[in-house]
Amino acid sequence: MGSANLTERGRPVLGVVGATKTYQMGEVEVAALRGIDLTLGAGELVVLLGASGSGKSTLLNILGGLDVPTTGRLVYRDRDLTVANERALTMYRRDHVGFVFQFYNLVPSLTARENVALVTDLAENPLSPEEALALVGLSERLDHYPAQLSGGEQQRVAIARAIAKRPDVLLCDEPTGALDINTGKVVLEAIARVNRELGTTTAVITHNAAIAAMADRVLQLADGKLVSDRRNDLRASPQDLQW
Amino acid sequence: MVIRALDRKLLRDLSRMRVQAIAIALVIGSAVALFVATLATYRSLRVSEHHYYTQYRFAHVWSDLSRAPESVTRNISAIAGVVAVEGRVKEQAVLDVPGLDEPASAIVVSIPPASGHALNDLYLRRGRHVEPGHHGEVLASEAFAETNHLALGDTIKAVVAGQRVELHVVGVALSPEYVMPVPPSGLTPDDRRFAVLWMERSELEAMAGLRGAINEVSVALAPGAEEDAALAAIDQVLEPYGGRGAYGRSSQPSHTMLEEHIQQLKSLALVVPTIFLLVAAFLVNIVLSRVVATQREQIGLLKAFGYTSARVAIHYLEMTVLIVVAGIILGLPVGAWLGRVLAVFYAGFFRFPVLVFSIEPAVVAGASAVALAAAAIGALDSVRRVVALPPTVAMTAEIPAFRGSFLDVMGASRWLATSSRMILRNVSRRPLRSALAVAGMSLAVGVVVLGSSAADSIDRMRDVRFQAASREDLTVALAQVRSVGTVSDFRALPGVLRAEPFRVTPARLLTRGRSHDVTLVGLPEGGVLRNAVDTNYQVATIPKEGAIITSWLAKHFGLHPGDWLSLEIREKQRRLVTTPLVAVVDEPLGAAAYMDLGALGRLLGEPATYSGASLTVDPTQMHELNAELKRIPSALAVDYRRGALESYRRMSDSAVNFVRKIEVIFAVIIAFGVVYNSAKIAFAERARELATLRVLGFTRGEVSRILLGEVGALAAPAVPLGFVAGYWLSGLVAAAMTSDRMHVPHIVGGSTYAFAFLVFILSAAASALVVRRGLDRLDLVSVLKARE
Repeated sequence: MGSANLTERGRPVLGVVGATKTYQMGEVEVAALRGIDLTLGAGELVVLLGASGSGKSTLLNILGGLDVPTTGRLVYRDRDLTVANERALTMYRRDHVGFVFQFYNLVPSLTARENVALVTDLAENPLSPEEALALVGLSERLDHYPAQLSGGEQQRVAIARAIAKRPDVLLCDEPTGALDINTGKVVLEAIARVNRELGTTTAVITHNAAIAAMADRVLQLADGKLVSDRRNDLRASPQDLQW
Repeated sequence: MVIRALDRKLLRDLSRMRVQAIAIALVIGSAVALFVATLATYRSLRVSEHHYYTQYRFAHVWSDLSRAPESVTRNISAIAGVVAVEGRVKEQAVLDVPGLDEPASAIVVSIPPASGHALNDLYLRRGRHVEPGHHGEVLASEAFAETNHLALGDTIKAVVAGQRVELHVVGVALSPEYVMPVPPSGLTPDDRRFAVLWMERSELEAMAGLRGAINEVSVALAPGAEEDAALAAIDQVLEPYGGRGAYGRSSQPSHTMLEEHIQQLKSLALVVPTIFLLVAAFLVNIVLSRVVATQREQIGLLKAFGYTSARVAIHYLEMTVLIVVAGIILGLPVGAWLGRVLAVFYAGFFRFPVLVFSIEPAVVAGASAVALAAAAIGALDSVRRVVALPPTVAMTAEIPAFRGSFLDVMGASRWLATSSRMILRNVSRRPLRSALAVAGMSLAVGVVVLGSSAADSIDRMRDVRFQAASREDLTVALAQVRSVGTVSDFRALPGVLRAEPFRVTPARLLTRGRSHDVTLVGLPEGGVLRNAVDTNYQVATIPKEGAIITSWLAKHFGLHPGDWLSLEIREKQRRLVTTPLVAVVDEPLGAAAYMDLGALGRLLGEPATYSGASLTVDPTQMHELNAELKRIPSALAVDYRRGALESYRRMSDSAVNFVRKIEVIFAVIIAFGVVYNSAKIAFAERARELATLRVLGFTRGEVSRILLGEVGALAAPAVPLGFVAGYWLSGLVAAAMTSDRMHVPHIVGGSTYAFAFLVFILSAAASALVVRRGLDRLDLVSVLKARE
């Protein structure tokens, strides 16, 4: 548990096998995923690209244990989570997964420090909230409430909250979607730093192709299928991204 | 008809919040139902009473007298305003009823020959009228006949005016004079041991030694005639004949008791539904303000599209109106049905020969208007905010701004868990809204306390009057006052353990041009069987000289200790006496003045006399004593404490408690409605936050605890506050029910608080379960996707 050490780097952590997802929308069946095979390796920073409706959020939700595939399997290390019940999925999220959302989803009644503490209180070997916030460059804003923080700062608090428990996987759903380019870069830098320093397997979904340059590996989804899977020889620094 | 888009939105919004809407509609429906039921019952009893009194020519004025020739009635007829006079003979009697071990008491009233009653006509329920020349024939009051299973033709042995006679029941009758047949010495009707018997006039004259004479007149006055003037004139006419003082309906025992019941019903009809409607207004307020808060963007959008502020405001008002109308539609038929049940129940209780029941349009319109008005008041604040909201502001999401609570400022929150801090800050962020939620839940607790506290007051009155104030087994009233030394005669009767004399004299308290009939009671020094006891069971010390009076009388007349009381003694010689007021006693039942037996005797000019005795009896010899009492010629009436207690209990159990039970049911509905809405709103406001926590790995149980913790944080202060509110509200109702004959003490028992607490906790638990289900079904993904 915890950060993958460097000798483990690249070993499979999380994946789906033949995953499909079909939603019933009234009388119509909508296939969001049409058979996906994907494995995330330890310490990888993966960017999932895709247009709106390509199925990337559905995939992320299944990987994070928020949703279950209609057919196919979800495998975390050697465990098959497809058969896990609701409580087991909750424990999976609690112990192994960190989430970052487009709209931050901070608890407005808690300060930055307390928002992080919300998660560290549950974890066994967490970073302290102060360490986690230092990692995202918010040491000066520990006792501010969400309403007193900018959007970028709020998103960095969300990242600190997600990684403070040293999760095995960090899942980020359009983390810069609500931010301007400069703020977005600061947030991406925080994600890259966490991935680098803690070795957390990280998946970022975005429709912004420019972000792909900072990844180890870039996946492209279209119409519920994985249409490309390539590796970057060189990871770009988020500061150098342009969009 | 074209359904506009805005109307569709209205219907969809309502269908989405249907459980909350139904909860509010139920509260409003409860209030409307109670309002309609009690008011319609009140109205129908009033009309039925009027009908009964008019049709059976209920008199307006009465006067007892020692003996007068029949011709005196002509002098009374000549008094201005008098339209009819009837002279009668009235005697008290002791009865030996088949199947009844104890002696019963009776009033025997003469029926005029042939032509029937000029006044106070009888309604013959069964059998036939008495026939002249047939000896010993009587009509019996229905309640007594039924309770004792008397059949037509049954014979009762009786002692009437000191003579033993046999009476034959040939008919069963009702009279407007005895709707509530209260024994002369009692406070409540005792259907088993008190009878009214009607007997042919000449026969009763002979028994009473009053041939060609009368000892009572009843008088009807013309509409608008001045009663006080008539009373004075009648007193003047009857002065030479030992007139005891004329009195009007307001002092007629049956009428005053009937009025009291009807008035109580009226207070209940007004006070309790008003409180319920307040709660409803409150619910509308919290729910609608929540709806408006969540629909800020939509409100802005509508205004941006060009809908006027007024139109948008009306849209939200319509939502309120639809819920209220649903409540009214639910409440009206229930109220009408309940009103009918209540009215039939009361009519049976009063034995009205006819019941006029109708739901008057004014009652329906009034209930609906009041419900709408209450809801409109509740909606006012939200609607004002809708109007004030500028479109541009509305379109930007409201960011909840938090500050530290006072606990944070004090540094105390350091010791609290993170989740407790969330709860604390959520509650303290909007102090007004939190205060309103607490107030709403307090009211929920309060209405339950209110609904069940009346039983406490009634129980207290019973305990004080029939346990603490009266410790005897029975009392014997004497036909004539006797020398106090003869009380030892009672001790010689079989089984009598203790006998204490007392003197009871009817009197009229006169102060500053006002008067009120009171019972002047003389109690022996060192006596233990009868006491003046206040509502807190404190026994008042009877002074050696002077009197103590009940607190209601003192308040009514503005009397204070040290003042002098003017009392008109209403015995065979009417006369005015004065005595100092020494103290006031907060007695629950009756209007009485207490004096030392010796002092009262001296005041009346009959020292060392008594008019009755309180006895305690060895229960194993009760039968022998009863047999003896049935034969004693000097006994005018025998009253059993147990009997009075039973009949009081029966009466309070049946009448007021019937209404009370309904109130408790509605109070429970209201409590649930308020608690459910509070929990539901807390849930709706936190849905996104709670979903976030679930995604972060909090289990359902952990998330529930945070949500329910918040509801709990609001509910915890609501319990003590609700107790306070309930205590205060029940005081209002106790005051509304208090009359001259009955001072309803403001008592809320521990079990009432416990019951309210239980109802509240169960409502909270049920609400929590419903909300918990919502939590289980929370769609984590979609909640996260949505922007606040």
